Amino acid sequence: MTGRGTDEPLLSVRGLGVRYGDAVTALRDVSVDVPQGGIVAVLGSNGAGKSTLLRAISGVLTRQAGRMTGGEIRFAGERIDGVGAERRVKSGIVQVPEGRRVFAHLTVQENLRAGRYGNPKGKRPGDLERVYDLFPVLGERRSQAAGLLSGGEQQMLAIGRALMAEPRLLLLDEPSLGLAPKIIDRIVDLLREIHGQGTAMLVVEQNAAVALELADHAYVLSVGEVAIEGAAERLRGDDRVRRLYLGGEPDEEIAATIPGDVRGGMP
Amino acid sequence: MAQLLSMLVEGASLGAVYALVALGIVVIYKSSSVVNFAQPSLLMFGTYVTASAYSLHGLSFWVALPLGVAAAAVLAVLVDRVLVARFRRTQAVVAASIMTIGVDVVLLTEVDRRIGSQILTTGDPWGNEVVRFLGIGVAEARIAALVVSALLLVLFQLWLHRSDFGVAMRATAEDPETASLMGIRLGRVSATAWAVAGALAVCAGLFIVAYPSPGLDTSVEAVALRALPAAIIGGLDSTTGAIAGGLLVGLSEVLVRGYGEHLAFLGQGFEEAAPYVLMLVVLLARPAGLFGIREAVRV
Ligand SMILES: Nc1ncnc2c1ncn2[C@@H]1O[C@H](COP(=O)(O)OP(=O)(O)OP(=O)(O)O)[C@@H](O)[C@H]1O
Ligand SMILES: [Mg+2]
Repeated sequence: MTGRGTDEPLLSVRGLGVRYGDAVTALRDVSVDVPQGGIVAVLGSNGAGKSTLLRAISGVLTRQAGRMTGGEIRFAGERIDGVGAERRVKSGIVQVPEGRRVFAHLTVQENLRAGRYGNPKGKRPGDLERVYDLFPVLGERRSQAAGLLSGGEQQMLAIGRALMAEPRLLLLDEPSLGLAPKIIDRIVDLLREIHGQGTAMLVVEQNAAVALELADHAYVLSVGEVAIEGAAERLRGDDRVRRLYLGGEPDEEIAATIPGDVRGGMP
Repeated sequence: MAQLLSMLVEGASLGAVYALVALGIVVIYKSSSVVNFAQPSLLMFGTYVTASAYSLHGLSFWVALPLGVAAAAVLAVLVDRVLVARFRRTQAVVAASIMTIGVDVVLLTEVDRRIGSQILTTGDPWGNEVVRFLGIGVAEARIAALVVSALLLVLFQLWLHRSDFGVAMRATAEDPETASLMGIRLGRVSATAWAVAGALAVCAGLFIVAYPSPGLDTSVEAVALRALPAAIIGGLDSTTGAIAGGLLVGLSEVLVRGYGEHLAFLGQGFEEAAPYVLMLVVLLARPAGLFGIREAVRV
């Protein structure tokens, strides 16, 4: 179960290639590491391949007619790219999908019970209460349909649902999407708290400010390839990142240094 | 008045039985978006196993019953695992649904061949007693069908809404990809749905062939088929709808037959067409069925 050495990353993606159908190549030779207990960010604009990366790690590409064309994915030293999605969840990789995807017709509590399915230890006394302690608002709404929650509450529910499986690595796909700045701050605080309890994280974001504030290390994906990689602090100061993802003026010359950048290009 | 009351009781009884079969179609649809047109053949197969165990091999009903239920459940899981699962990977739910028609035809042909011209009884404990109350007489078997079916329907709803597995099944119905991200095994959810559908079909089949019906013969499959309009009337993705649809089909069938002489202008045997006419009327008004969310035409 545990990695062989302490310096070995918890998650290691090497040379990953992904295609959808026969025509669309979504990822090309992507390598990403998440160290034990670390927080790693993946930045990129629309269509860069961020969600595809997380789908490949979770093992749910086939539902979208996607498949790995190369590379390998290791978790805690074990090859996982051949095993089913549910085994990956049981081994400790749990995803909070893009757009939250709460089960709208199920109650808040039923959503959490659905999340418990991936817990390798199964049902345990007080497991729901632990999530309610972290997100008191969910406790107050436990018997309400999840579809009636606000966007921020749904994001909390999506995170709480993932926590029910007691992940060692949490994959977060654009947790700030569509939320007010105040709510984003709250989510970031909660993620820090969860991280403090020992959960590693891979955070995918278009909002670079949020991601770089949270992460120790970051990658920038551009049209399916890793364009920039480095310590989060360094990327915060990187001209290209500042201009492209931190709200600076888009600069054609700088954009051109990122291979095949597609801002505003593809639908 | 007495005639109407007795028709209502009979219709409700028949409707509850249809609801069991329709529920199987709905639970499979919810768990994998596949419409199981093979449900009548699963009913025929399991009922045949029970009836032949009793009539041809001399086993008691209480041994023959679990045999038939288990046989249909196992066969249903096999159909799911061997045939339907192939389509699931690529989400080819329309192709999978149409394939179940093939399963239905093949299986019915084999069961029909074995039944031949026999009429097999199941040795069920209801016998041919008639219960009299409020000035009407109703076959004991029909009362039993109503009571047992209602009980099964309640148990099923409790299971779906209270148990962890029920939560997994409803989560899968709503968003299969996210359900699998939660560690829910879609293959297992689907296989369970098929097993339950097979078992429910046989429970219904045993009541369909009970008194006053003479027993199991090849005409029973036409009766079983009426569960399909029942499922669609209620809404393919609603278990409450399956129950409502079953009751509507059962009641309309019995009432049309009972008032046959007033409806003679519609032609002989209109009761057989009534469920389908009802289905068309409901779909015109509500394309998703009475309780459905997703439109049935989307399959
Ligand atoms: N199911 C699919 N079938 C075909 N192509 C797909 C599919 N899903 C994604 N793609 C393509 O793969 C590429 C990467 O998509 P992906 O969803 O991973 O991007 P993303 O970085 O998550 O974008 P966003 O920020 O908009 O969520 C895009 O070109 C997209 O059009
Ligand atoms: Mg995405």
